[in-house]
Amino acid sequence: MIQAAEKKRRRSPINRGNPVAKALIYIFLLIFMISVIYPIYYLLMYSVSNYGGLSTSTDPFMLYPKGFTLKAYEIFFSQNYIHTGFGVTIFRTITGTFLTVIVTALTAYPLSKRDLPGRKFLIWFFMLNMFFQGGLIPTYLTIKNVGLLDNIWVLVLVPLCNTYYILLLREYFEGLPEALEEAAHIDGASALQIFAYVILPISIPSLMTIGTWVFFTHWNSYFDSMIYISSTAKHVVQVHIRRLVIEQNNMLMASTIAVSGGKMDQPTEQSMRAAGIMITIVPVLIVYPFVRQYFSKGMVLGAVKG
Amino acid sequence: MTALRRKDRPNPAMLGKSSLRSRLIKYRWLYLFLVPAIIWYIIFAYGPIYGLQIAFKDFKILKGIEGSAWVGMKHFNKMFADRTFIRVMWNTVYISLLKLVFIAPSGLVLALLLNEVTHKFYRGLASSITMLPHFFSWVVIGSILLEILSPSTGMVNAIIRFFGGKPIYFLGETNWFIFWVILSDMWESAGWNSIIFIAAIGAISPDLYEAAQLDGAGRWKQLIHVTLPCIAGTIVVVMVLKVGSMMNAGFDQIYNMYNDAVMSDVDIIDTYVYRLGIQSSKYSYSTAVGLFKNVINLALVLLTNKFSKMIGQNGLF
Repeated sequence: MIQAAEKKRRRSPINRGNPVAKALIYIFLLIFMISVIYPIYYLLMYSVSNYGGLSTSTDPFMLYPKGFTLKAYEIFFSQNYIHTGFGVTIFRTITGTFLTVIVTALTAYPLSKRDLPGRKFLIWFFMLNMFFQGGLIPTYLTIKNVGLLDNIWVLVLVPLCNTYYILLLREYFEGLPEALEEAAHIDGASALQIFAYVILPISIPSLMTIGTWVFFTHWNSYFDSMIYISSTAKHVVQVHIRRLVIEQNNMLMASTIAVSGGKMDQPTEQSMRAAGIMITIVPVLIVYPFVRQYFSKGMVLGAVKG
Repeated sequence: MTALRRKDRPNPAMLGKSSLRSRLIKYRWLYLFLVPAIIWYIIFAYGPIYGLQIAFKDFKILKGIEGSAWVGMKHFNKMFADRTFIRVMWNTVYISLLKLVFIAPSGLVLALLLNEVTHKFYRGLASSITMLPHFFSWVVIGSILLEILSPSTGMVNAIIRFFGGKPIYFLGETNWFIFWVILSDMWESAGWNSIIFIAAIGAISPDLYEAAQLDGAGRWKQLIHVTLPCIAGTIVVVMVLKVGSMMNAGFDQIYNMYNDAVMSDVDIIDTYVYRLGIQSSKYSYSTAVGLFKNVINLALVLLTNKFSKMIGQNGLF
């Protein structure tokens, strides 16, 4: 539909618009894009610069590295907390995304049956959570009471269900043609078989959308790890980066920087921090181009339901 | 065997209204599907709601939720006399209002600008890249800001010095801090927020534009007389949603940006509750503050939903 509108608009000759206005729009968008890319580029250049280069440089724009060393990355990847941090982050992201997608689909499917007895009650049972939550402290106490404090499963279990995703997927299931299930039903398939072999396969695009949302939410989470986890080895990588860059934790800094110690060919404290930021966003930058399409599709799915 | 018996059962689609009993039998397996989610909601959603009672108690860790003594409205009375709380409330509303004015429209403006770009590749690139910051965590964005705004080594101040200016401690001065809060939130969310508007614009019938062109309308006139009226509904819904979440001024953002120098001016309810509850272990008092916030939040959501229905838009529920 968008493409059709596009073609029609482009065909008409009166439609060129004011060239100056158009140029301004292109330039504005270019500036926005630079504002996204340049800070990342700047930090990348900083992270590979060394003490000698930075102390003699007068160029503030960092268009190229000042001196060159990969030592900052080398130091990071020899740190224990980076290994455990990435381990926990990867574990929670993969396990959490998988489980959330499964549970969301399992929950949304029965709710999509319009004649399911108790459907209205169940929907309100789930929906209430969207409007009213216990809040930070009662949630913390609940986690404590069920004995999940300092257990990495807390990172998977606490964000397991999301009412919004359930309702979104329910709406999608409601739109599936009934004939689809009837055929399988007549062939003698059980409810679970219908769900696993008929419903799930045709819902893959929707599941991918929700999956990518959950994936990035997990990858970027840090707060649950900060409050529910106490052992350093069980923290996600974002927590360590936060301690290093934002809290400027002296102990963590010392253990990391001590190796570099202000020699001319070594990274500075700032370039160490820049490297820390880089290693957390590079995975996002790598995955982003591949999953971007699912994001906008899903937003449209949810937003313009008509 | 089972398969045979299943076949004998009448086609569900032909049943029309079937009895409760037969529907219960028909869907008996589907209830099993719901079990994991129901358990989760009981523990992680209703558990904390049950725990809210400690706002009316003097919670002691050793006595537990049930064992602690009831104290009625004590914590709420204390709250309304607490100058920090009043200040934090005001900060929350102030930052939220600024965001309402600047952030929500930025998504719309970006969508309208992207819509004017006819070069397909450039448009795809621009929408991809402007959306990218949404996928960075606030830890990362906070870190980037801290690094590039640093008075001694940051990029922005290096450039200011390059042109002969004096370095500014951006995150240490309230007005500059708020400026960067707004700007970074815009930077983070404009691309993401534009998607919904782009979808709404895409759904407008091309005939309307053709008719407008026949009447001699240029791009600007088309924008005013076709695009904006057609997506007015979406704009209203987005604004209504924003008003409904007024009490959330952005915990992740403030928490990863603030420091002692600006603390009292930019501390919001959520950061206050966090520091009181998790760091100082004032469980009951911070729960009372959180409960107060949630009640206002709920009232706002219900009100804005009603308003949205009143002016003829679909409500949320």
